[in-house]
Amino acid sequence: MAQVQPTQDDSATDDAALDARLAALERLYRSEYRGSVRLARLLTGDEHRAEELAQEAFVRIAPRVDAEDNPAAYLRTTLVNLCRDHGRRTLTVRKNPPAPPDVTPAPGLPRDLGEIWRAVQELPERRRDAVILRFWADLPTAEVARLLGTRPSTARSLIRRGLASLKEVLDNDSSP
Amino acid sequence: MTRHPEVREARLRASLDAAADQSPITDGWDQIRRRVADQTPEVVISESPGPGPRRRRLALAAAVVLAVAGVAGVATVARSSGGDTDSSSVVAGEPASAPTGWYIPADLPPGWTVEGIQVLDGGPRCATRGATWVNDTTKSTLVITHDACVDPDALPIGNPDDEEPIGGRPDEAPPGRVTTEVDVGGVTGTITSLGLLDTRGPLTLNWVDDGLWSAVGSAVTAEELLAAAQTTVDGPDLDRVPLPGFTLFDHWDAPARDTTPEVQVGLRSSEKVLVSYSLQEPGRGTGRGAGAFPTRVDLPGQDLPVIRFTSHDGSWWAGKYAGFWPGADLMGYLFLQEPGDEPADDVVGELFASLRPATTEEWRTFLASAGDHDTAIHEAPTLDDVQPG
Repeated sequence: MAQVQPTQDDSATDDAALDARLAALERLYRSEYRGSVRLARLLTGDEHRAEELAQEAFVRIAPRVDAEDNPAAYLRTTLVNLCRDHGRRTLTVRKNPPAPPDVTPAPGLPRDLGEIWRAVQELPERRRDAVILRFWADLPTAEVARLLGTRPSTARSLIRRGLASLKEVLDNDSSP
Repeated sequence: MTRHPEVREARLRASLDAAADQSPITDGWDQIRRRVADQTPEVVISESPGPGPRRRRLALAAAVVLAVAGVAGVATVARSSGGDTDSSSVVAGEPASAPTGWYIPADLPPGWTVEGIQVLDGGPRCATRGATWVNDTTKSTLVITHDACVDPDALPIGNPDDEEPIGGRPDEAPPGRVTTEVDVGGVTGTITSLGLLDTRGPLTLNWVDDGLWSAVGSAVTAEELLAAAQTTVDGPDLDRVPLPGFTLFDHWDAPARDTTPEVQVGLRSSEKVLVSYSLQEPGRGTGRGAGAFPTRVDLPGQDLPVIRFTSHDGSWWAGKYAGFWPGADLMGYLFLQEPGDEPADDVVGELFASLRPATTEEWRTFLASAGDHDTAIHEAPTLDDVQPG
């Protein structure tokens, strides 16, 4: 980490603080950026927007990155909020006018995995987010609840209902 | 075939992994670094990572409360939810003291008398939250509420896991009512109407999903009510516009309680019309005007925000006014000999214009003047302290 040297020159102090922040942010970037983009892809279903949202999350937490006890968790919270805000705007567009579900094609996936991914994307927003955060991000229910701004009992219900909705496709005979 | 749950979860993870890795991830550090470096200290983002839906709801509720209050020095509005540690207080200015929740009529015209004061007990209630949405063009109303219990089994209407429709099956419809089952986000819900389902309401749609949800629509169709419910289910929660053309009118929370007292004050106007107003914990306002169209009105001499409700058929709605004020929800009622037999004078409006916040001492003095009243409210210094006998 860059050393912050006290000085009478305010601009020099600002520069040193910025260097320290960038150093801390870069360390976080190296460990978390790839996972952040992947999570954003799943929460939004939008590959290109996912990278923008991940970068936006890093920029937003930058001012406090070296003051947070757990910057990775801080980053994840910011990213999930950004993705959910993005999802609400997208859903509003989708709802007017009503149209067939705008589901991201999954041409690169094996057929059965693509079907599962499509089914995940067709879940109601909160169920989808809860399922992804629980089973892909491997977060405990309490953390899923915190990220979704709901009670643990609600998060458990969302996860349970999400899995129930996916049961048919997850049990599909054509799958390995 | 049916797979073991662990196999299902493994397949789900594999699918999500594959979806997350469908294309390479480009390096974004240069862009992030440039944007962070371009930020000057003056534009440093000092906010927390994000409020989350619930805190946004509270902020929205606070904004609405402040917007309708429009009064300097409005006292504290506290909203919290049972089972949550989350709570929020909105303070505009410095209140002189904490609100007691007591409100008494002042400066009523000669001839008005207090008939009596009583305490009703609504019994144990779950934490509740809700929102009222209105369409000013069509004069339609949607009131969407969610009653949550920490222990879902404590729900009086059944276990959410059973997904049993509330209100009974269609062949068990209450006398004079029509019910039909609908699918609300994969859960069976029941629409109940006082008449035919195509009469544009009032209609009620109930469903269970981690608590009891209810959507009450007035001047909406059953299809619109179902669409509004579906929007709510899709989430993130009550803060999404349920139908195009609707705007948020009010939003509230109340925590779980073992008892939910309602203090009713009965008065008789100079024209001998019987009216009353009730005092309840904030967030428990009776019905919150479900089934009627709310309008904010200015009443002479009343600085607190007042809502007037109008029914669409004019026959069944007896509560005309409400005040969701510091420390209490107030609802005003008019008792009619016959439906539609309303007096020419706006007696409930007259009453609401006269109501003022009272200290404990002022409330007790009012009680003494009222004659017949329940001792439970004499001993309670505030509305929140009332213990129904």
